[in-house]
Amino acid sequence: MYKFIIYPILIVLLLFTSLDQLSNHAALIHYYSYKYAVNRATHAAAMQLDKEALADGHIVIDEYEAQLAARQLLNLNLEKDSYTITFFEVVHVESENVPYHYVNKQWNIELYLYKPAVILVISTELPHMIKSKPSFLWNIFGTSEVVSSFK
Amino acid sequence: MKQILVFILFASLFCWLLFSPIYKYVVLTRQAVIQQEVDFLLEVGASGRYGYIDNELIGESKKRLTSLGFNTDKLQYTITSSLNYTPTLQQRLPRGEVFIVEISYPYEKMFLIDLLVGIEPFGEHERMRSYGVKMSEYVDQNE
Repeated sequence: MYKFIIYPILIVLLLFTSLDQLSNHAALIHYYSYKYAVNRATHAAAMQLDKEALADGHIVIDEYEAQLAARQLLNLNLEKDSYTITFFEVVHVESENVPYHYVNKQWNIELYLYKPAVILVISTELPHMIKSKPSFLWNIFGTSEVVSSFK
Repeated sequence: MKQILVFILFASLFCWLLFSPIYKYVVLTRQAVIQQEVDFLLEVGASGRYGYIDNELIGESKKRLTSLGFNTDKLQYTITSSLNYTPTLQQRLPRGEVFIVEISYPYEKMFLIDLLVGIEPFGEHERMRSYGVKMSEYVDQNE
């Protein structure tokens, strides 16, 4: 008779552990898809050069166009409204003070930059497969320097 | 007698409990692998040196996936761009336009085991998809 008690307990235990592991595994895959999207968004943003400044021989990122490009690439790569852009910054690096030491205490970012760069942080959430467990929360950070073959 | 009865009662459930997580992992891993392949194709194709993803690159990609146990005939590559054509060596994608790459693969019989506990499985021809978009870096030097 005891089997009728032990078996259900075992089944529930097995179910929950496998569901928990599966959820963690899925979360990891989910995280990386977002990380790649952020990387591509900053990459696209860093390609938006200010054409007038470029004509004068300066490499400057057009902040407005950069933000548009970043938003466009995030929208194309990810589901709409599954993330929020929490931080966006264009860092203007002058060639005189290279390497430029960039520090952001709020997001805990520390970088050495050699070219003008774009920094982006998005926050996203993924519910756990087991409802009673807290959902996964991430602030995903990405950065890209200007893409160019000239110095 | 009673023990055999209990075993028969629970047999399908035990089978499902033991083996279904493994199938789920195979699905997740396959999904991750084709996602990785999308990322890699974009990384190479959108770089300044290429600016295109042609059949040669896709062939190499298929070779890599075959070594991981994929069936080449069932893999489906869809490569387009924001200019609505598939970039090739002759017609590369200029800087500022985006590549759109999608790889899909059927779920096959991965969810068939769910029938044991009465969950209707995905159709055999439903496909898992991986998708990615990246901006091209290619600049035509002759322009």
